[in-house]
Amino acid sequence: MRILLALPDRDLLAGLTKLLTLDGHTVDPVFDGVQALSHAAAEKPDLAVLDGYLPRVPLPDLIKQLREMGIFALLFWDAPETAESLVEKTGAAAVLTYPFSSDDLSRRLLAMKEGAFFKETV
Amino acid sequence: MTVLLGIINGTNFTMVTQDADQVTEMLSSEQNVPIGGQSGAYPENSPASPPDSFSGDASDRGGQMPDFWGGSGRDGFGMPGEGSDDRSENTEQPPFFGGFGGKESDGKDATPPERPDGKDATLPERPDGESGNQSGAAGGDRQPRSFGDMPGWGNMGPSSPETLPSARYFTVRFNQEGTGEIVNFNVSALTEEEALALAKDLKTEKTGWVKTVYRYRVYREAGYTYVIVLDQSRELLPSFRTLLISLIGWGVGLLICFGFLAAVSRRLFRPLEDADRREKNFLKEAEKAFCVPLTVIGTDVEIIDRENGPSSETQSIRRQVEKMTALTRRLGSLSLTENAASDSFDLADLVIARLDRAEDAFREKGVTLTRVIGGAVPFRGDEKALENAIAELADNALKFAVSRVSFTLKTEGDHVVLTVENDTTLPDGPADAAFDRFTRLENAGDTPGSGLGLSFVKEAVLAHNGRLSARVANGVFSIRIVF
Repeated sequence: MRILLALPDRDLLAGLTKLLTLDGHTVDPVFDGVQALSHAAAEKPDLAVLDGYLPRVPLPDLIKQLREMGIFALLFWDAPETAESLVEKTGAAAVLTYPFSSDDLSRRLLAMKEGAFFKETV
Repeated sequence: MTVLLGIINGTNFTMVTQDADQVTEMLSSEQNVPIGGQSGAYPENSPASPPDSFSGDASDRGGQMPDFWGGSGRDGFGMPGEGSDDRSENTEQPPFFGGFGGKESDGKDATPPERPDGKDATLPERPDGESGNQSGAAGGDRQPRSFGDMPGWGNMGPSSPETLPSARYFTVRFNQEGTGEIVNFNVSALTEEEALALAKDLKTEKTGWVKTVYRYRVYREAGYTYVIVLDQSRELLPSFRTLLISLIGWGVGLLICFGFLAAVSRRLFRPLEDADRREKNFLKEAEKAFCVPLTVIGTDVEIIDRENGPSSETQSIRRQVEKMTALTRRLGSLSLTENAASDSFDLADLVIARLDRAEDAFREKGVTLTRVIGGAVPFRGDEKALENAIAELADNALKFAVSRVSFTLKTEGDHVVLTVENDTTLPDGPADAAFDRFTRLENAGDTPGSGLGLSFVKEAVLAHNGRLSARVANGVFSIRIVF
């Protein structure tokens, strides 16, 4: 699966890139919204994984444009209580709340790949 | 002192000095200044008499009398040699309406029921004695014209020479048979008949108020009972006005005070509110601040493990990350109670559902879980917060129970009572400290925990206007929550 990974935290970006690559995915790592859009247009990823605080492009706009390209988005978010409403507000396919383990992420990606979008947060 | 001053125009009208005296006294009691007739204050012929007291020979003042005693030509009220000479009989009358001090002793002796001699030399000369017109339509004839010559007027403070002459009053005299006779009538609001009836009612009294605005005084003299009724409406009206103004002033003052207090208290309590908000924000911020780093550490440990194979060090890091992750989630749920939702749900269902999910854990640990839950308990509040609270309660009970835990949910009157009990090794006594953040009781030992679980329960309960307490009795730790 080709994954666009857009996270502002460079350590997390590097770690997850490596881990997802080890899991057999192809990862396009970027750290802001503008890059995310250009990479999405160029690489046509299967899924976009975005941090909720991604700079430079408002989240709903970003997700809307990704959806226009046929790309679903998985959001990383830090507030479990607002996760559900975030899905409604931004149009993200799913939300995963920090802190999560690599297992959590793997399960969620698997579920999304199978087309079952969980709104439930871990 | 009861001296008749005059008979006017053939009507057997008498003016009794004491009567006037009493009226003056009633008037002056407002100011607390002795006036009219308080002759003792001014020694006879004393040079020390107040300059304004008109004491002594008033004749030298006569020429200065102003002309506002209209109708003086006929009134005979102490106007020497003028108008009413035919009725002036007693030259010895004390000059109640004239020079007072000089003839004081004479006045005391003479008490015939006749008017004083208008020719009394002590009475002031009126410049316009002959030309007066009648003053006032009702009882104008009986209007005392020269009260202004009262000694002591100068000490009257706010009152002026017009105060007594302008007094509205009437006097009724009752003889021993109880027959009333109007001695003096100078009111407009009452007819003479009404005045007589009123006085009859009052004659057994001493002093007081009647018909709201009339002050009365009753005194006995020479076998007669005199009832003086003095209209005080003009005195009361300003009083009422003053009272009204005072009340308005008070109201405004109070408003200002409350406004000030409101402004100040907002300022006073703002630090407290800020502190509370900061604490909640801090928890929220702490949760957020820990989120990404914990994820990063977890991810990196995973990578190291995959590349180098698991080691005891990476296992240790994983455990610590899990602990911190759990702690972070709890911090988040603590700050969650701030914005409580309002759902309608069945609390009994919620407890049962939550305990169902915990049952396996109880079985694993070999702890008996007993539930005593009656019928439905309709509840309104934040379902999620309460579900978390019940989970925390179950978790805590399981963690520290020796062998058994019981959940009891029942209604007591209007209240819902949830009791959670577990056997414990703790000594007997209150154990409310268990609800404090980051507090772990003595039996915590190396049991994993953050000391936050029950503090979350407390937050949730308080957010629902509930009360809770914890205590240990006979080896049983019990938490009682009342909504």
